[in-house]
Amino acid sequence: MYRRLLILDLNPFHFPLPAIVSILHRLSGIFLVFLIPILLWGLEASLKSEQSFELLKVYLSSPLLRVFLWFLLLSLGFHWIAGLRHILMDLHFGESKRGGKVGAIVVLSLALILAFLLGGMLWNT
Amino acid sequence: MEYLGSLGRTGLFDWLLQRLTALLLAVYALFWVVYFIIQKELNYLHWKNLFIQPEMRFITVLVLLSLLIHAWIGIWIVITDYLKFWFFRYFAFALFLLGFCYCFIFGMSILWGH
Repeated sequence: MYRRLLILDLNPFHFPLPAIVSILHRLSGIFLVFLIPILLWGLEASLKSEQSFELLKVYLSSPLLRVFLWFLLLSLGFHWIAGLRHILMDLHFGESKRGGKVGAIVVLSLALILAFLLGGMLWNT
Repeated sequence: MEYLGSLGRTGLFDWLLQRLTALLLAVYALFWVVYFIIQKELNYLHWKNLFIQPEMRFITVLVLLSLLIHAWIGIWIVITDYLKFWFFRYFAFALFLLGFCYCFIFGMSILWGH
């Protein structure tokens, strides 16, 4: 009689940082795609007339839209930073396993700083 | 090998196109960061005069085109990753294709429409 099933109680979930950066890059990208027509609509409103410009300014000052703007700019910023890491890795910088982890930590740190910076800026204007 | 929805004959061309458009978009985004840091108070006149200049309009249209190409390649990757059944996949392609064409025509009308 031999044991056919060997169950080792290893923690089934672990969260490798490069994987987190990768999925956030993808999610921010998807969000940004749906944002394109909204941004264009905003541009149109800002250029059409002085009234629509001022109206847009008032809308963007509302608490709900400040939060939305925060999300928008954070997505853009994160996608930008993670995209830069992608391009650097294409140029063979940080392609090793350790390099990937270090790069992921840098991206997440910068994104965290950006989140606080944006929060400060958007609630002080 | 040509793949439905890809922009180039090989995956390599799409890969390069995505990087090139990314660089253009990255620089354009930085322009706006600098602009909003310098411009403390935004008024309509200043804003309107920025977009009246033909150089600004031309570059913005170019950037919009790059954005849609970059977004298409990206969304192509996501669609082919998650939608395997032909109907859902082609429907998604058609939807985004239509949406992107609308965005481009809309953008042109905003910047060059009068």
